[in-house]
Amino acid sequence: MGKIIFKEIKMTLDPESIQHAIDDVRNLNTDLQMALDALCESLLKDGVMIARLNLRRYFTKGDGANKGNLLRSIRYEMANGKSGEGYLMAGYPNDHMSDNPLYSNVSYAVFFEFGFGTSNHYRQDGSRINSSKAYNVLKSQGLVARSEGRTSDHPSKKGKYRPSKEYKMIENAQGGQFRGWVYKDRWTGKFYTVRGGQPPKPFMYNTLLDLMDKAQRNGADIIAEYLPGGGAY
Amino acid sequence: MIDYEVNVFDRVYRKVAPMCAKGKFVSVYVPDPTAFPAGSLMELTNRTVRKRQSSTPIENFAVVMYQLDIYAKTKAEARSVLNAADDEMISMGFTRVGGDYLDNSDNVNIFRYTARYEAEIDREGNIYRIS
Repeated sequence: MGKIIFKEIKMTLDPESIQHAIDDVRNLNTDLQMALDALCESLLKDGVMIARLNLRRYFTKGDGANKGNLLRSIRYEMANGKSGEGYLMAGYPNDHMSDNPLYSNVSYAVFFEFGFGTSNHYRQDGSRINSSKAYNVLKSQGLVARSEGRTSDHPSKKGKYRPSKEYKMIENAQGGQFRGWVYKDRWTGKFYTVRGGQPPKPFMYNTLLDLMDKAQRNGADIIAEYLPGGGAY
Repeated sequence: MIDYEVNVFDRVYRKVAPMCAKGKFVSVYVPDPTAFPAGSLMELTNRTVRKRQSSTPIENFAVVMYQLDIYAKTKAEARSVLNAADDEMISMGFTRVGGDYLDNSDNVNIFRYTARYEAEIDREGNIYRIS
């Protein structure tokens, strides 16, 4: 772990010297804020790459999310007006990006991290649900189409792609059963589903640990670059 | 590898299992629990603490993270199981770093509470809070 050496600020009781010292402290404060911003941004940039790598570790063949939408949603933002603060994010909390073909709907990111909970194969009383039968009933009502790998029968309205709303309809129709996320692969034009019954995959937690490790090892060097007269060892 | 998952799980199991449906508090992810309340406690992350390593060829400390999932038909049921498990984890020296009612994605009628705990464990199995 590196240590930071600060520039020495000396003063005598001479008013001019005191004023110099005050200016030096103010400059140091500004430099430190810039250094923290730089450190934060450097960590977040690395964080995006690390989070994507961590996420890839969990992908398996045939996994619907292996098409890049969740990967592409990993991004960072610096906090407005707050020095040395920023956010590393995955997915989108609401469906406001659902219409964006680039990002599609990745509100399931939190479920990737913490797990999807129980799958829909059993009712609360323990009896098994025939999900394919439920699916066919809904399909006959025009509420859903089997989306895996198909291009033509997705129930979009007015040519607009609204996956999560369609799935909420399914949820209501089945009294809380059968829920999932569907998105369109922008390269192939096919639809894929992300369904429940998956274990937690803590890609963001592991990224946090990686970044804490990185900050301890390299943080001092980055901060020292912004401190004239100072350094790190 | 510093591995005390069995010990940690066993201690929580003794307290929580009687409150869950028979055999439904487990240490692996089960996608289809057939009765509720059900729960799981799993060690998701186990990493060597780099700054506590020495030149000796052994691992001195590991940072571990556990995830606790409780599924129940009612919120009160979920909360009582959660409190029992949480008390046990905290008394062992873990810190709860997150806890939320998350949607149970496929069946929103089932209450789901998810909490995460982290701590450092040494080779002898002593648990330390992370400052």
